[in-house]
Amino acid sequence: MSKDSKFLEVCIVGGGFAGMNLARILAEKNINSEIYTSGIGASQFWVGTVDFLNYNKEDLKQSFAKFKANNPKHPYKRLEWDLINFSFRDFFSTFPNFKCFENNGDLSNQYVLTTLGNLKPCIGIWNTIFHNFDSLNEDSIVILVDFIEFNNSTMHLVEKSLKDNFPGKFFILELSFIKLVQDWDANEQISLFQGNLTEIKIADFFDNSLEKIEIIADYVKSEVVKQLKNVEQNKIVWYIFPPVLGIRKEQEIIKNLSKILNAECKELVAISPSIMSKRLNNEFENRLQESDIGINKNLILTSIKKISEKGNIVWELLFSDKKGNKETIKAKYVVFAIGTTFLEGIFSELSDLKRIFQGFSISLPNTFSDSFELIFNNISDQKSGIFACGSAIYLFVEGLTEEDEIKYGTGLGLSIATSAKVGEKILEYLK
Amino acid sequence: MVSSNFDCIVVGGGITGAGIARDLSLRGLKVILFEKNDLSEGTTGRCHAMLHSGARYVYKDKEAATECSVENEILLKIAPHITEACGGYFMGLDREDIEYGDVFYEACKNSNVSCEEINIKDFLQEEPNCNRYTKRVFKVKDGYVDPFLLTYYNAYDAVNNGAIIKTYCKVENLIVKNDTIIGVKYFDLLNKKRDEAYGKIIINATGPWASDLEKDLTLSEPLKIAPTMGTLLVIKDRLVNHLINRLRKPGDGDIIVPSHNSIILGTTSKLVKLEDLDTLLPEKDEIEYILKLGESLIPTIRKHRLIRFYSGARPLIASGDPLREVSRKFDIIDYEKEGYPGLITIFGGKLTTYRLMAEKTCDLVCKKLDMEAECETANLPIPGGENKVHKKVFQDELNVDSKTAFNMQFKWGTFYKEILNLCEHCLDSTTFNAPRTICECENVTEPELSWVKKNFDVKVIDDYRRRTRQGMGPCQGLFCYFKIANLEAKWTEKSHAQIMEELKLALNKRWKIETSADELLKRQIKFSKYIYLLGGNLE
Repeated sequence: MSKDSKFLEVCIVGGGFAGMNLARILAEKNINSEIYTSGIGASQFWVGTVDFLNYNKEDLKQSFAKFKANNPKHPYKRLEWDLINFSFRDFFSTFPNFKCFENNGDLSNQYVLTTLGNLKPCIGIWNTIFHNFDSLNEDSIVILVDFIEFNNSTMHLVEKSLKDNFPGKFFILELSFIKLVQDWDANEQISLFQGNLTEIKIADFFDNSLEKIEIIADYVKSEVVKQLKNVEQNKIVWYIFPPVLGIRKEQEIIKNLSKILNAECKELVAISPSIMSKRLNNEFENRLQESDIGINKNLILTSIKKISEKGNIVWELLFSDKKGNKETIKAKYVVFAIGTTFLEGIFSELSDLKRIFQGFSISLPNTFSDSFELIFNNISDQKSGIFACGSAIYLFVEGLTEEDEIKYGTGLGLSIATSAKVGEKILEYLK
Repeated sequence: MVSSNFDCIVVGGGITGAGIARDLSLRGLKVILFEKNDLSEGTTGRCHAMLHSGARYVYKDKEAATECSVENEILLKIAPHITEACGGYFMGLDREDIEYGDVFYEACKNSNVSCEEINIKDFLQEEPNCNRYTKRVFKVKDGYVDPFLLTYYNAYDAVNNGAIIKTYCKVENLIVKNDTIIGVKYFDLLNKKRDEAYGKIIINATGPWASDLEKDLTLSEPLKIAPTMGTLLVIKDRLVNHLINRLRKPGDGDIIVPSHNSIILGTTSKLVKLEDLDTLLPEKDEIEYILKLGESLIPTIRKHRLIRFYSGARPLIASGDPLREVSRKFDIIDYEKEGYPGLITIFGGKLTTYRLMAEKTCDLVCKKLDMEAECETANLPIPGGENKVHKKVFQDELNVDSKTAFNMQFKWGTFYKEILNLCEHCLDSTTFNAPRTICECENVTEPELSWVKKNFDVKVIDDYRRRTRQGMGPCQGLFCYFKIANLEAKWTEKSHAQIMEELKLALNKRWKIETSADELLKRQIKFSKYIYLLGGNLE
């Protein structure tokens, strides 16, 4: 069996955005890596924002320096501004579907509206998300579209928040997806209504109905006339939709809808995350596929040990799936990008992190380097390093509070910055 | 401003207070009730929801056993929609248990508590998850009662009969004028206002908090309360369909109650200080201890996730007896002998005997007011309980799936028609004729939430949970609290900031158990914090 086992330069454990971003970075330098993932993680609940420090400061570079001075244990303490700047720019240029916030050429934070209706500072967002509040004035009319079939809707919360915080008039427009499609082709309907009508299905439907956007727009217009009698259509400046308008072609749909409705159409940041997460996941997977990087799903790491092979020390990792099938991997470097909340799925029976680590038959590391490398017995072996990136870093740093993690440092921002740092170090070791 | 005079002021909105308010208002008295939190949020909502047959108390507490046995029958009759006559078993595992079986059987007979020994094979067929090395089994008439809804329906009926119920209003002082108690001063916590109410009789139904109200009086014999804390665990999955008791003298961790989609396992008995009553939380080793005891009843119990735990305080009078042997009977304390004929404290008792406690208390009130009024509560159904509405009716009329119907049949009784009328505004997308589900774990639909909003006086977001079981399931509200907040925004004039405040409060109540939680539960709470604090930027 050991003869057949796969040999990798880098084995990435965890297929969330941290793991995938690292794989992407390594692939660009032609490093042989693969991802092993249980297939469930916090990335599946990504809502469409890139956060980096919860500060609403124009000058992020200065805030960052201050933050580092006040938070000596925080993962960000180990990062330099140049790396932050580089890693985010690299990310945003790789994925043009994001909008990156800038101020005089520097990265900056801006407010976006969360699904609860609260404002939250972010460094970037998915392109189609509504964020530009400065343009609202007393005469602005904003229509908030609520699909009654969209089970996770929080449009009423958002409407209330907008009313309480911004000038302008805000109206909820209730649309029924089923009413919209009831006159359409019977075959389309059959495929839609087989099984549960999920948000993903609705989004897929819009992806496949580009030619029908006019019908959708007409429906919106007619419902405005019916439901909002006092609203003059030509004074509407924004239409805010829940993110159900497509998974792959949402930019196109939004653009066309805006044109026909003669007002800017945007989406809302979603607590219901399935669609946003799927969008970014698709982008990542496409990119990794182009680079021929394997993503091995539904596998759980069950043991890890150091072995000697041809005079070199390498890691031997054993993965297994739910059916008990096992796979052995050998790798020079291992990166834990396993997050902190979903080690084996939040609602599964198995749980305890410590038990899993005991199963690794390695002692817990006694130090953790500035490149997020786990150092055992104070020896850094450059030929067989083991790293952590993304929020998994919190598993290894003692003395961090939950506030450090939740308020200032997790999410896509942490994943981007730390995976870049780990990637940089591995490249240096491999030179 | 509540300025008018009441016949009776009830302090405390647990099942005892709500039961008294209903009984008095049915007898035609003018009643007001004050509760410092929400109804059923104290001891009532922290019990194991067991409808005692009395069997548990036959050994030491014959009187309480007989009371339970009679009241059990009455409750099943007047509240078929929120009770379940599922029956219970006493299972014996070791030699001591087997010997206790004979004593137990005799004692049941002496207390008129129905009890029959049954074949172990039959028992294991009924309850395959229970210990297969069970040596002896008795079947009794234990049942389940929803303690929350029992309280709300009592309060609902009281209001329909003219009573006023004020939740989130804390009675701070008695008003004593010329050595006579004439009313109470209270603080309205939501509107941040102090006010007064006047009445002829004050009933202290605050359970373990009862001595708070005595502080303004000079008493020769003040109440000596020794509340004991009982801890209960909620385990995912309905592992048993009957109540399971260990066949022995009442002890720790020897009861399992099936409750909706889960089971409740408990309990313990530990003295607590009066000043800690508002912040009871079990410690890790106590949870571990109960799980260990639970394993002897259901050996595989640890394979099922612990989704919640809580502790309640029993209102017990201090005495020299060991904690488990303090009587579970109730006392009605008339302060006439202390020179205050206008004050009554009702104390002790069980959820099962709440109606009897209310009846006796109200009898005393009527005697004091020199009124003749019959108690009707033993025969008059609790609203919604006029007849039993079965699962199939919910399935057919409301078009809900089998699991939702199963949960609905233990909640709404004959009110299903009103809920049906609310359905058309919130239909589900998949079928277009079933109501939309908001809480996926406990299968709570939008019209149910809408109905309790209209009828059960929902003041803040957290109130929905006790009235519908929303957020009580495996995800503990993680995936439904934002929808609840959205509904509150849709249905009320509240500001966005206020809704966020209430949402935070409700979530914090779910998160507060973190310090004693196991790893899995901790991660779930952390994830919930990700979603709301980070994703939603809830400050």
